[in-house]
Amino acid sequence: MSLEFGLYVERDTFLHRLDPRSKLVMVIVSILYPAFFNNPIFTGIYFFYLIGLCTIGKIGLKRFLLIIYASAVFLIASLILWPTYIKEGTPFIEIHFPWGWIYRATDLGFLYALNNMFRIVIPVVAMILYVSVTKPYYIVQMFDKLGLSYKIGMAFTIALRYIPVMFYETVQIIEAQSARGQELRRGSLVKKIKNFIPIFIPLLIRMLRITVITSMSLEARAFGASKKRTYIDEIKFTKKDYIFATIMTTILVVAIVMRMLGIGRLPIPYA
Amino acid sequence: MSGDQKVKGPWLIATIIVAIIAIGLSIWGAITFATEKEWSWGKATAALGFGTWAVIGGILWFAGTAFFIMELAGFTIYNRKLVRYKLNWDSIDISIVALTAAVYGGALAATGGLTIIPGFTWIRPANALTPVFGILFGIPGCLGTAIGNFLADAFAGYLGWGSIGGFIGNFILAYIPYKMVSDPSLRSPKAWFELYVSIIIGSIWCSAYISWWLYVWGPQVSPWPLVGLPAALVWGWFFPFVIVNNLLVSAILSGPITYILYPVVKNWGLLWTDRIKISS
Repeated sequence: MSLEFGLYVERDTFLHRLDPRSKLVMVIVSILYPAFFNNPIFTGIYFFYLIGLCTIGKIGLKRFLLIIYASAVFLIASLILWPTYIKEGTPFIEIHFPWGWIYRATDLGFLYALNNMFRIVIPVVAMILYVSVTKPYYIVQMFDKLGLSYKIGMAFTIALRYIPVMFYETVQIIEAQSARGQELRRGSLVKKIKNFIPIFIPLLIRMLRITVITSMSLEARAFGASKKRTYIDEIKFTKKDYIFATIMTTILVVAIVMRMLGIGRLPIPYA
Repeated sequence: MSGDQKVKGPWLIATIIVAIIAIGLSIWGAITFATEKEWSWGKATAALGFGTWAVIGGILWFAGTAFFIMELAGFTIYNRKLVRYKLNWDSIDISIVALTAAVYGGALAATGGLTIIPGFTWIRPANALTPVFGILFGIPGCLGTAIGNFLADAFAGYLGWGSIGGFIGNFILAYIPYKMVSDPSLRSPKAWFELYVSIIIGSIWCSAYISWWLYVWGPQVSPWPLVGLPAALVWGWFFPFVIVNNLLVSAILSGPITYILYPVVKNWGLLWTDRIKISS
């Protein structure tokens, strides 16, 4: 993912305007939904529903490429691993590789592998969507509104803001040390690892400086002076948030009912 | 010979032995992983059986979660007693949490994978920062490590159900050195001994914690699976690999970095021993 501007993508879409709490419902539903099915038709439909939401949220080409990359990685891993465990069904694929390895999968093994790819990727896509369409400032408020410590929300948001900075600091330090003749990837394994000491020491010194400056900035803005925190731009749970959260909750309820009725299940020993 | 030297001698020998064990074990693990067709470490851990790992991992998971909740609730173990501690969670502590998270997350992404064998296997050098953050910053450093790993997952596009296990697992990776190293300055052989022992324990505990989380939510155990990984992959590959990954870089880098940074952290008033109040 691009580290240049952090995770949030500035747009004016329906999803951007939603309250972060209603979008959190979407994330929770996305985490739980794949648990109720082992048939890729049902998890696949939900996956493409999330892709549709990503399109509405205009999350950008780079995020889509990331989703495609993550999906491809997990699909390959899943297709290699799961058919060795699932022997039920009729033979579906048999590939003979030049180095002697034979890949075999039954139809059920193949479908189950596909389902497990969706099982891993669906929460990943939901999280990518959430952080892409939710301002970090609103995430702090969400922590507060949910009764959690806004201080943790604040730490989370500052970290989110500084990760790209620290990424570029690290890259710059590596380049500066390389310009002085340090070869990071030369030598034995131990030597290669030891080469990181001149990278990490300046990075951590820089971190300590920023820590002190950040704490002074927070103090100057009376951070923690009042237990009740106020916000200039306050989040509101509006009618469209209720509608969105209701739709997401309904999807989960339908999934639970379908599971109870035995719909969306492949005839294999694993859930 | 002075009394001090008499005390230092055995600690020095013990430190050298435990350092050789930690570094030797991790190099052995990394080399066998890179060169063996079927990794002997993976075969050895899988041979113990999933039932054994379910019990061991379960104990470590519940203990780790208990420590995590206990520390965030303001309790800690001090002199083998459960005591209350006071941390203000003021602007400095919040900044430490945020910046340790940012550095860990940013450095994980920037240093990427250090290749052992090109195109095949790699390690994460930034993992060496976790014991450093725990030893120097205490609980804010541990929490920063946890958040940093979580955010690094988000940036890499792997933030999922497993990341929740990774959150507390990385907290433990920093927490064990924080609790075990009695002298954060590392100016005595005893402190170095504690550091290496804590790195070994922390690496195993962290790996077992995350593995157990992935295992119990996997399709072969849970009737409502939230993770799509087979048990054999979790205990026969992921578990030993994470141990090797954490142990290798931490055993080599964490000690020197902590030693060098200690005076700076102390002078700037950021050391945890200066910021926390233990009440009996």
